[in-house]
Amino acid sequence: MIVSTGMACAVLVGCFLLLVMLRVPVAFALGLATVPVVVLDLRLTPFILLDRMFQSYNSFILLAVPFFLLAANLMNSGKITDKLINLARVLTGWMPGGLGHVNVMVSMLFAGISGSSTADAAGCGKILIPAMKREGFDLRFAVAITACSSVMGVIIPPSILMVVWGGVMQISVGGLFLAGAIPGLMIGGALLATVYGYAKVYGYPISDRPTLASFWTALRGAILALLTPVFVVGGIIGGIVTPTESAIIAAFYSMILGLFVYRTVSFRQLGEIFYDTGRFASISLFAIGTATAFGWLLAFYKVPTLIVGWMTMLDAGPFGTGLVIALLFLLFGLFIDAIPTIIILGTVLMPVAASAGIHPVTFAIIGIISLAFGLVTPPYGLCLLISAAIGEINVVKVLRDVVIILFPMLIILLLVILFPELALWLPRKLMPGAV
Amino acid sequence: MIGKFLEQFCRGLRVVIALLTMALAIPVAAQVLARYTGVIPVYLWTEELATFIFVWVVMIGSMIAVWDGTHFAVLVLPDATSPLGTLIQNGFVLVLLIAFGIMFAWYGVAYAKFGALQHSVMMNANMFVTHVSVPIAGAVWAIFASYRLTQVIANFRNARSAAV
Amino acid sequence: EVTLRGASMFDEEHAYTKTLREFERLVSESYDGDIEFEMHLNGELGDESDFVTFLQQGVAVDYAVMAPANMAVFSPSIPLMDMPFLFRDLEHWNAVLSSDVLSPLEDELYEKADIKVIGYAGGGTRNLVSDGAIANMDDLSGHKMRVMGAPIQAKIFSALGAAPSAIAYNEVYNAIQTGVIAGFENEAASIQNLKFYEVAPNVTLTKHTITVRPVVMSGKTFRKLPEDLQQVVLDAGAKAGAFGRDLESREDGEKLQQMIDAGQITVSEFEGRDQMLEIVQPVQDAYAAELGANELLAAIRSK
Ligand code: NA
Ligand code: NA
Repeated sequence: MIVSTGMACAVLVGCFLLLVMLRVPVAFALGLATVPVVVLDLRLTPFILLDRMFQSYNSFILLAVPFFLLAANLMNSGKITDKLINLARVLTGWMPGGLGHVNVMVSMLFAGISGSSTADAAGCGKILIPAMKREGFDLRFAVAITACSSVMGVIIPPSILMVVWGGVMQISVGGLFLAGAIPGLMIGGALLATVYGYAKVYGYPISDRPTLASFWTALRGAILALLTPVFVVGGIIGGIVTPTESAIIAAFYSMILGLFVYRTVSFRQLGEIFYDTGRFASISLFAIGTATAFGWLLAFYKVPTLIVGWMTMLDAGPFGTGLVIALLFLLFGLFIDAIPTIIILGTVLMPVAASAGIHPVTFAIIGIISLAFGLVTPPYGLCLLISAAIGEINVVKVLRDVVIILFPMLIILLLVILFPELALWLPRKLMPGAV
Repeated sequence: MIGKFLEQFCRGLRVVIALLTMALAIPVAAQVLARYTGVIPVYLWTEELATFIFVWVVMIGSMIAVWDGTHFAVLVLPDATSPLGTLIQNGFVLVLLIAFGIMFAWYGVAYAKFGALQHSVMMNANMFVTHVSVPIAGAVWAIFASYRLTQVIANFRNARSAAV
Repeated sequence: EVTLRGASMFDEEHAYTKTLREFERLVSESYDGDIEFEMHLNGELGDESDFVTFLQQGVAVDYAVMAPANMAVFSPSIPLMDMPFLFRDLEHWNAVLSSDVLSPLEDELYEKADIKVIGYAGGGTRNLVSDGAIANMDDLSGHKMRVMGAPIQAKIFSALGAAPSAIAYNEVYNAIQTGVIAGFENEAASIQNLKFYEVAPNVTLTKHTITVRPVVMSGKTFRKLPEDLQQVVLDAGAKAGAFGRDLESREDGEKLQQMIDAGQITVSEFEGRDQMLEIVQPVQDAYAAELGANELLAAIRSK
C-alpha cells in the first residue's frame, strides 16, 4: 500500500512515544518506530532504513564529536576538572548557595574548554552532586542545576553543535563561536541569579571564604587549562585548522597537560580514557543514525515542506518567526538529539529565517540555544539523564526544579531573538568578514 | 558458560573500540601534518580512512551498550513492583531489541553484499569492510539481548520461588 | 497506472530540476497510458551519493540527474566522462554527448550499478575559484586547493603544480575563509548558490572541465516498465538531456555575469592554458590505460 502523510506521521510519532514510555532505549525506539512504515509502504524497504542510518556516520564533520569528548574526558580523568572546580570555589564559593554557584561557574569554565555538554554534566556532576548533598543541598536541586548549567557547554565556544551547524549550512564556524560567547555568559549570569534566589529561599550554605593566597593557587592551577579556547578558537580564526580538526587540537592539548604537565594521567589510564570516549561517543552517535533514518522518512512524506509552507504563510516578521523557530527546535529537542535536528530541521528552516530577515548567525544561535535546552528536557535530555543517574534519582522527581531553573534561561533566549545584536556584536567586532 | 563466553567476547570488543578510537586520531592528524609539512604525500585518503574507522567505532559501541544496558532510556513510568511486572517491563524491551537486531542482521546481509559491489574512491577498498558492520551489529545485539532476556527470566523464577 | 519518483538536490529554478521536469513533460506527452510523477527537491532525500543507493536498489527514487563521480564506487571508469581537460570546447563536448561514444561507460554502469543512462545533461564550466588571484602557471605552483574526491582530479592538479588538499565539501567555505586552503574549483551555479564568492572572489577562467551529468533511471524500475513506455523514456531522456545541456551552458555564462555585475567576483583569464593541456595529456593517458579505456579516450578525443 501507499502510506499517506498523515498516517505515516501518526505511526512514526505514535510508535516512538509509546516505545519510549515503555522504556525502550531512545535510539532503538526511533529505529523501531520506522519499521511499520517501511514495511507497509510499497515504495520503501528496511534496506533503505539501514542505509540512511549507516550513511549518517559517513560524515567527516561528526568526527568533532569523539575528539571534543576525548578532550573533555582527558580533563575529567586528568583532574583538570578538579582544578577548575577549585578556581570556581574561590571565585563564587563565598556567596550564599556556595556550591550551587561553583557548579554554574565551573560549567562556564568547562564550556570554554570543551565542546561537549554531556561531558561537563558527567565530569563535574560526579564531584559536585555528592559534595552538594553532603553540604545539605536538596538532591533534586543539585541534579537540576548540574544538568541545566551544563548546557552552556555547547553555547559558549568551542561547541560541537556549532561545528556541525557551520558545516551543514555554510556559515563561518569561527563567527558562530564568537556569536555564542555573550549569550552563553548571559545564561551563566541568569543561572547564578537563580542559585542566589534558591539559597535565599532554602537557606543554602556558603562554601568557602577565599584568601588572596588561595585565589592565586587556584588560578595558577587552572591557567594552562583555560588557555585551550585560545588554541581552539585561535586555530580556526587563524586558519591553521578546519573546525573539525580543531577538536583534535583540544584533545592533544588536554593530553599533553594530563600526561606531561600535571602528570595526572598515566599511559595506562590513557587506554581507559580512549575506551570511555569511544563507548560514550558511539552511544550518542548511534542515536544520530536512527534519528537520521526517522527524519529521512519524515522528509520522504514531505512533512518538512508542510512545516515551511505553513510558516511562510504565517508571515510573522523577524520576532514572531524567531519565536516559532525556537519553539520548533525546543519541540524537536524533546525527542531527538541535537545533531540530527540540525540536519533535519535546521536546513528546512534556514530559508524561512532568511525570508523573515533573520541573520544566518542569529538564526544559528537561536537554534543552538534552543537545542541546548533540549539537553535537559525529557523524555530525551542526555544531560538530565546523566545527572539524574549520578544522583541516583528518578528523572521525574527533578522536573519541577528543572522547570524553575530553565525559566530565566528561556528569558535569555527571548532576549537574543529580540536583540540579535547580542549574538552579532562580538563576531562583527572581531571577525568582520565572517558576518 | 555461555555468559562467561559472551563476557569475554564483549571484553574483546572493549579493547577493539579503545584501539579504534585511538586510531581515529591518526588520519586526521596526518591530514593536518600533510597540509603544513608535506611530510606525508598528499593523497586524499585520510578523510576516507577516518570515516571507515568511525563507522566501526559507532557500531561496536552500540553492541557494547546493549550488553551493558547503557543505551539511554527514559524512565517515565515507575518501576514495576511485582516479579511478574518486572519480567514484563524488562522482557518487553529486550524482545523488541532482539527483533530489531534480527531485522538488522537479516537485511544487513543484503547490505553487506551491496557494499561488496562498491569500491571506495581513494583507497580503492572494498566497501564490504565497513558495510559488514551492519549485520554483525544486528546479530550481536540480538545475541546479547537474548542472553539478558534469559537472565531476566531466571531472576523472575528465583523471585517467585523465593516468594513460595 | 505507473508512478515514477524523481529526486533533485536543488529547487525548481535549477537546471537539473528543470531537466527532470522536461523529461516528465516529454514522457507524459508521448505516452498513451496513465503515468504520474512525483519529485523530491532540495535534497530532501539526501545528496547524489545517496541517490545512487536508491537507484541501485530501485527504492524511493526512480530517476535523477547525477554527477559521474558519485557513481564511481560502483563503476570506477565513470569519472572519465568528465575528467579535467577532456573536452576542447562546448562544441566538442556537445558532439560527444550527442553521439554514442560513451556507450562502453554506460554498459559498465548498467552492469555494475544497475543504473541506466537515458540522457546527458550538464554544461557548467568549472574554473579555479580562489581567495587571491591566479594569473599563470607560477601562481598555480604550490596553490593549496580543494579538489573533488576522485583520484584523477588530484592527479591532474598535482601535475599542474598545485597542492590538492583533502577537505570535505561542506568544510570548503570555512577552510577558505580561514586560509586552510586558498581555493577550489567549481562552476558558476555552485559559486552563486553556496555563496562561495564571499570567501573566494577570484575566478580564473581555466575552463578545465565542462560538466557531464547523466540523466539516469534505476535499472530495476526501467525493466518493470511496459515496453512501449521504455522506448518513450529513452527518447524523452535523450531530449531532456539535450534541453538541459542547452539550458545550463547558457545559464553558466549568465550566472558568471550576474556575479560580476553584482561586484561579487573578479574574473580573469589564465595565461598559458595551452601549456596546461600539454602537461595534462600524459596523465590522462596513464589514467585511461589503468582503466583499460585507451580506445574510449581516443574515440572521445577524435570526435
Ligand atoms: Na563549549
Ligand atoms: Na554544572
